[in-house]
Amino acid sequence: MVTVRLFAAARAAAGHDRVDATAGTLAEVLAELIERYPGLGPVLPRCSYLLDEMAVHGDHREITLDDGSALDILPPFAGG
Amino acid sequence: MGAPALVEPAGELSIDEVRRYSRHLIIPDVGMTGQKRLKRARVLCVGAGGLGSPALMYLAAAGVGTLGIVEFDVVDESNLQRQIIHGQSDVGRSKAESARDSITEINPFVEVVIHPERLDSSNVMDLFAQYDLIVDGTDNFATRYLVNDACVLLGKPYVWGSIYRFDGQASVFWAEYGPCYRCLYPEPPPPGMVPSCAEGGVLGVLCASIGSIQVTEAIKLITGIGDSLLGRLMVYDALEMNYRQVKIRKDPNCAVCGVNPTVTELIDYDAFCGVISDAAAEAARDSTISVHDLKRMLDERAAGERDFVLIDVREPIEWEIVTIDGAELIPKGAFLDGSALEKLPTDKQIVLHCKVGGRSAEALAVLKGAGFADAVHVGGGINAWVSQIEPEKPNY
Ligand SMILES: [Zn+2]
Repeated sequence: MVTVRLFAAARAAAGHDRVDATAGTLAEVLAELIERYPGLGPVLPRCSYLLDEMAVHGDHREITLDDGSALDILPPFAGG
Repeated sequence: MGAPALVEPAGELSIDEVRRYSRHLIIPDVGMTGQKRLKRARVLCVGAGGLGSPALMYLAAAGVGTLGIVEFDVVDESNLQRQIIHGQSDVGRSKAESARDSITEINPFVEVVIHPERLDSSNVMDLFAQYDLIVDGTDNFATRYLVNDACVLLGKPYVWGSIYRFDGQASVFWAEYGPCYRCLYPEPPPPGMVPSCAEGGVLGVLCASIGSIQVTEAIKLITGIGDSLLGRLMVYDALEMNYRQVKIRKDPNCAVCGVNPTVTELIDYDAFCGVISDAAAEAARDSTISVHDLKRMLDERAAGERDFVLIDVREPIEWEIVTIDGAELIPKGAFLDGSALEKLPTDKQIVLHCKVGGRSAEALAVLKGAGFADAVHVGGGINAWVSQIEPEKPNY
């Protein structure tokens, strides 16, 4: 299991601020989340992902989330 | 997190200053030395809007000796619901001048320097170099990446805050001692996918919640007390009424502060963020697909399960550098002059892409206007495609 923390619009879309997901690639974890919480579909493409506190880059299919890792999903906004 | 006090103490405080700042002076952690550091500090606030209003007022009251204001806008009646440094009689005036007058009324010991200009790559380095600390209260992604990159290149700390509806975020970025904004948000969001406060609204008092965090952090950095938000993002949810913390580590792959930075000087931030027209933002709002969606669609097309036309709207010189297999080139100009329309099939879905999603959104607006109701564009463009789907291809 991986722990996923959802913030702002992602939290609102999922209706939860913290959920567990099956360990796997980032692409698999996100697909599982969208299947469980379809409202996340339009929100995720703009989000930044922190895997164990570090920003992820590159192909989501190549990024592996091991058991016990933590994923933070942060939608950006720039209002001031 | 381990950074020394940013500012050396000024000389003596006057009798009037001692009376004014007495509630600070009797806090052991601040004291006379801390107050003298504040007096000597030079803080630049980028924007005198929602976040800039409370930030400037509290920085002034706290006794920051020199406050700079970068702001080119004028006060509009719709600002007054949250931009509390301006009042009814200021409507139509320069925000910079209105803010200066309010600050002088709050604390005449503050020297205010107004920079009534639009912050851009041509002036940001000279402006920031004059200050110890930057407070970012701007309202768009292009300026936020500009502020970040300039601060990294100059080695300056800055206090960042951002608001939308009931949500707020704040942090301290200082590449010498921790992460920068790009370590948290490496890429700007696809153009048109994130509404601004003007489009989506903002709870006025949220400005105070986040602006006051920014001022707290500024005071701590200047005086060298406490644990700063460097390496932590504070996320505020006004509806749930909670603050959650996200730890952020410095990213060795960061484009500007990483081990092998690819951004070593200022870039074109409007192009980087794909700044687009209102019509393009409107067209893109419900018609943006991700590069993963596109990958799936292309796989389905190859399997004979679906049909669509993928159009690359970049210029031929960019097509030479890198392409997505299965795309056809029709530069954006041919959409704007209408000549592209007759080349397009009307019985197939049209999918547009460009480099980052700005030009394809503009072309999409033309298509929607011409009746191509199911046309979509690819958020993030070929840059996102290369970084997420085909990293072996070149980015540019
Ligand atoms: Zn960085």
